[in-house]
Amino acid sequence: MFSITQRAQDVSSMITTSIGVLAVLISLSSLIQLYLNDYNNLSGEISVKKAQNSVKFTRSFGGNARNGKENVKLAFDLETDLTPLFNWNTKQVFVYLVGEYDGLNVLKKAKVAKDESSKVVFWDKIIKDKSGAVLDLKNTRSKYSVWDYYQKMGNRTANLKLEYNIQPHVGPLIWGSVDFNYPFEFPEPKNA
Amino acid sequence: MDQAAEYFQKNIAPALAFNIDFKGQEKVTSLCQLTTIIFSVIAFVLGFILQDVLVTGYVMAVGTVVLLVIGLPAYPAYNKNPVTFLKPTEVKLPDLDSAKAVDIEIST
Repeated sequence: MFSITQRAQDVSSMITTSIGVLAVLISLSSLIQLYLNDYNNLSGEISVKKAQNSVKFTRSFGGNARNGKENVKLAFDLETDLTPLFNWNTKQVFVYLVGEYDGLNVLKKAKVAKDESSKVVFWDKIIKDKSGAVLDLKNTRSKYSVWDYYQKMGNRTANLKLEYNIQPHVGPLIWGSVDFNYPFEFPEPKNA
Repeated sequence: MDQAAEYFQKNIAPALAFNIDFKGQEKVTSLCQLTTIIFSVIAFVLGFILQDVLVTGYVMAVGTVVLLVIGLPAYPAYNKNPVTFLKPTEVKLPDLDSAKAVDIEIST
């Protein structure tokens, strides 16, 4: 601390140490807040209003000229309350509607794991504020036309759930899901 | 170029050092640590109560400015106990040119 440069260095080290300690404390306190708010047991309701399955033969929909790919689109109603996820350390919450279904054991020779499952994302949204955390969607169309690795999607049953990713200001990313217990069967393709 | 650097090192750099004496260093160290801790605690508590991280950031920014104002300039209050150096005195060095080699006998 004898010269001005030495004092500047000491002061800057004090400031950065305190900022580091504050970051740890902020993330720890926000994790405790999430745990006390019971962030893992969120509930909600969903119902699929319309679903459509069509075979596409273009690259941008997963198919090629010879083999088509079944593409599914849907429109749904969704109601859920995500306010327990928001505290002072939440920068934004990324929610996405997934359908999880069992994989096709198509190739018996290939060593495919028995519990293979597929996940497709129908719709997603970025929520930046507590005021936008109460979702009450009516007849929302899916953002993405989803297709499977294999050609067949019709008549396979998927479990719909809303998964979220809490992105904090400081600290670890946190994933979770709102389970609806809503089995949804993909319809048969129109133009087979 | 060398002469300019030497001139700078000898005449200008010591004046830019803004030194403070040892008692002043003790004061500055403890004062800076205290203000850092106080501002950090206030920042965390205020931010947690108001549930806003920006409040914590702003309080820490104010604390940084306060710390720079307290710690960086060499105030006269930090220079109250200057180090007293001894006066330079004449020291008589032994005349090595006229010294003779001395045989050292080791008695057994």
